[in-house]
Amino acid sequence: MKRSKGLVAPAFQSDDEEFEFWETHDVEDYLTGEKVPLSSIIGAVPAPTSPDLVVTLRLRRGIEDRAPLSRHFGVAVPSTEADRDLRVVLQRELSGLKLDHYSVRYTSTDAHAGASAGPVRHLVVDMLVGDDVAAHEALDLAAQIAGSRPPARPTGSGSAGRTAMATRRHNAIVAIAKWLHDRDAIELGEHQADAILHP
Amino acid sequence: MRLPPHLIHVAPSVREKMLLKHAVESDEAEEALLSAREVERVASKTAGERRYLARGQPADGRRLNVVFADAGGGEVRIVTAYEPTGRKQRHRHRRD
Repeated sequence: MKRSKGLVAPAFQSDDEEFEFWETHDVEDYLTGEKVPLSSIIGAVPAPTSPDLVVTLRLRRGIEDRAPLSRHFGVAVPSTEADRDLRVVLQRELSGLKLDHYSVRYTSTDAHAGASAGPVRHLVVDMLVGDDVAAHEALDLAAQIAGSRPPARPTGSGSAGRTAMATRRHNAIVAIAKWLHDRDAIELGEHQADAILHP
Repeated sequence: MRLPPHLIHVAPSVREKMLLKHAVESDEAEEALLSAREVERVASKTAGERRYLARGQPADGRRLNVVFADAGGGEVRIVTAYEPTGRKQRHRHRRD
């Protein structure tokens, strides 16, 4: 039996680049040994019929990062919060975490989900993270806590050695994810979110 | 398992290359992917989307390796699909 060589594929910039990579490299050399049911990945999350809020969590690896990593969540806003400014509601969850000035900002815009549907609000949460690994970990963490995906194996960079600010950012991700979880948020794919926000 | 088609994406350029280089239609790749009960994680530095390998069979019975990206929200994107070559790879397919 052939064993994986434990290689790690590079970061790909495009589908074409990745296709060509696998033309010349044996995928067996890059397997981690972690096996998961396909059902935990594909189709595991039913598309919401009418979310009235899309929350986009965007993680920048620096203030100048123009290509932040992001994940989207669909939320049916509870009637008790229907008329409230959700930026304020979410801000309350994050108060006291002592995040630095540039780590979180909010924007909220209205879209329209078609002639028969009401407006769809879009809440964008921007956050700074230390690097690519931290961004990846944070997105996975948010998705897990929000309840839309099964827990994934830690990627290797744990809490040891975290700076105080990294810990605060971690706590902020947890707070946001719990906020989403409490509202039965489900994770949306890029295409789903786009279809809801730009019908 | 039959899923809405929008859950599985294949870029037009990948669709064309799979056909030209491996004689694999995107429908076959999707069938092979959906026939796999388990998939195995592929180590990749690409942030935000995990990679997996599915070993499956479309309706025509051909064995295919399908490398795909987990795009989140239950959606995936097929990166490539091809017939495993070599005795060892075919053996792994039979074992799985």
